[in-house]
Amino acid sequence: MAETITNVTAGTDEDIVNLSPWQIMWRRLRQRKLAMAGAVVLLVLYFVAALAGFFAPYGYERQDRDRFFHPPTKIRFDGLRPVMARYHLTEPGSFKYEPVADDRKPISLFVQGEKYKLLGLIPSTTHLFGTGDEAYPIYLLGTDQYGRDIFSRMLYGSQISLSIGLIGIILSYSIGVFVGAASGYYGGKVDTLIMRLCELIMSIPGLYLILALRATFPSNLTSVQMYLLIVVILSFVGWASTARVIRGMALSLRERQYVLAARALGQSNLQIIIKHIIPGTFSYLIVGATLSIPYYILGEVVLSYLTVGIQEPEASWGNMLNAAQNTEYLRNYPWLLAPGAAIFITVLAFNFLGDGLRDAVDTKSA
Amino acid sequence: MPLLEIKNLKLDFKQGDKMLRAVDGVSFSMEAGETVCLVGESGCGKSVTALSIARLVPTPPAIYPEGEILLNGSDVLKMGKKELRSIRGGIVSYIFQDPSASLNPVFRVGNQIKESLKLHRPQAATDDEVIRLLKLVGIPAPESRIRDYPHQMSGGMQQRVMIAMALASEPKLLVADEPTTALDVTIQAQIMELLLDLKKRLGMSILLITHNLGIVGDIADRLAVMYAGQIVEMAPANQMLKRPLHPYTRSLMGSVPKLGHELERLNAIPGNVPSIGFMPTGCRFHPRCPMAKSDCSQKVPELVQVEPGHWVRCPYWSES
Repeated sequence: MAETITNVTAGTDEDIVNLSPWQIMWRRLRQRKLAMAGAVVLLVLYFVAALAGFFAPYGYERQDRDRFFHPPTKIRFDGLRPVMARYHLTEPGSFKYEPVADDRKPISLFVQGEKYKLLGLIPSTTHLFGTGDEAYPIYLLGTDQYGRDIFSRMLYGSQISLSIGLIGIILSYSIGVFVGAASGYYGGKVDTLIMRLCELIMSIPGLYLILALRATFPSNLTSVQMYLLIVVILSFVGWASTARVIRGMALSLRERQYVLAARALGQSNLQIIIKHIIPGTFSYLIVGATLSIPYYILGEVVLSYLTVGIQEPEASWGNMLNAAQNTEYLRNYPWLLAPGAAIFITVLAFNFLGDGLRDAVDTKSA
Repeated sequence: MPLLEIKNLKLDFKQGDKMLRAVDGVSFSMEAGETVCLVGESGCGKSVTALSIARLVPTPPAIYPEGEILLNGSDVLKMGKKELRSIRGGIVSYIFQDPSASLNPVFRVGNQIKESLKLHRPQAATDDEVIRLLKLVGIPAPESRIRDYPHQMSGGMQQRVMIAMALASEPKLLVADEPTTALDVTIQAQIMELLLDLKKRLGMSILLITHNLGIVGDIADRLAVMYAGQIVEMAPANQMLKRPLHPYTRSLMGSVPKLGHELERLNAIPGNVPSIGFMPTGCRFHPRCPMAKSDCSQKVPELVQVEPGHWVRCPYWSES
């Protein structure tokens, strides 16, 4: 009997490639150039941020009291060798600098400089580039009103600005996904209650809610506490919209026959939510998360710009832009806006990647 | 003690202020190792009756105003959540109509079978056991098939995986809710043959729900025909197939086309199944009945035993 059954089944299809949904998504994503460009840019940014101490020529706190508002150092090539000029102050009142002719210093790689801790653990003094001479400081993007190197501060600031997006997404999506899936799966009164709560949170203008929440905490927090506080506040405001979308998907997923089949096998509601409802929303989650990370980056920028976020002298892209509030500064020292360009590039890269991911997970598109 | 005993089961669906009765006083029992077929048109209540055995009809909107479902002697309708979860899969397993919808598309089939094992036989949740189960249901090369996704399998193979999943927990009763309706005819025959074979080898009971009279003859020990939420005729399979007594059963069998008979048109039962909110008075079948009498619209017929083991809900069963 068993043999006859074996013989009559349809022939196995050997040439169907045994790909997981993730592998299929990766294949489709690879064909999208803009998305891959975004991914590469982000990889580079996160890599540099992780090793900020090594890539930055100076520490974020170092002040050069002789060179406030120093313009970006011009780099020239002496043959193949990059060299930089020393600048001197021509108008002390308005901080105008001129390069000194014939006073040049070659730029070299792996120079010894200030102490820092690589990844916060390994102590080191080697920096990627520099002149190794205090009299010839290299300021790729100039200095700010306190004589601090903007390039170095941007790298240190990226550690905060870039990680806040990831942690914020993880936090708000975990809340949003779980609450949304439970709301949609159980339905009825639970659903009504949770959805009205979401609408309540969403109906308050985000910025006011953030500022109000911020005001309930003391202002003399350490930078780590402040960082965590910002993430929690942004996630508290952000989970509601995720929960709403996931709830809608859960409403349709719970009617699937495989959910009934899982119940018929004796799985509990919690197991069904975790194993059958939430995985069904992954295709949305990946795209949604990628496209929402900029919200957290920009949220930190807004808070820091309004001086209720990351506090000086700690660097973040937001509080660096705080200095750019002054129009006088902006007109004369436009390099203060450099962190804005970094935000722009990061947000754009996340959006390109998110768009590509959306196409890659959408089986209906070609 | 019978394995399953349903006594006077009534099931209402709450819609607004109205109560719509989907199952009205269904009673039957099944012995261990027995195969019973529930036959009836769409919407006659056979699926909700079957789902009620493991309380899989969501309440609300469903309400059970009366009745008992005794599974191994204990009433399913009085069980708590924990007990229900242990009987689901543990005593009664289900396979459903559309296998491609019953499998989660994002997980490999091997893992899905393993889920079933983890729930009920955690010590047996191994690849070897999954392969053994896939062999049992006649899937060739199970060693490589366990890493397949559902979409890589044909409908027949998917249904075999579903059967393997249902058998993984070693249930005493397998409820097959139209297991072959979504499959093409040759695959239907294979799946029915597989069920028959498994029943013989594993000695479990099968409750088969179908509207296809063509497939019940080979597998069923007993048949129960449902119409509009009630059982109208119940008898041993060969007895009913040879000599159906209720006019509805007769019309139903008359509408199955037979090979070798020239037919001008297919015999169909005139009219439609009454809608759940608008049941006819008296006998529910009388508006469509070819031999309806004048009092059929007033008198509510009872299910009576007319021969040993043969029950009919029609007072005029002998006039044929």
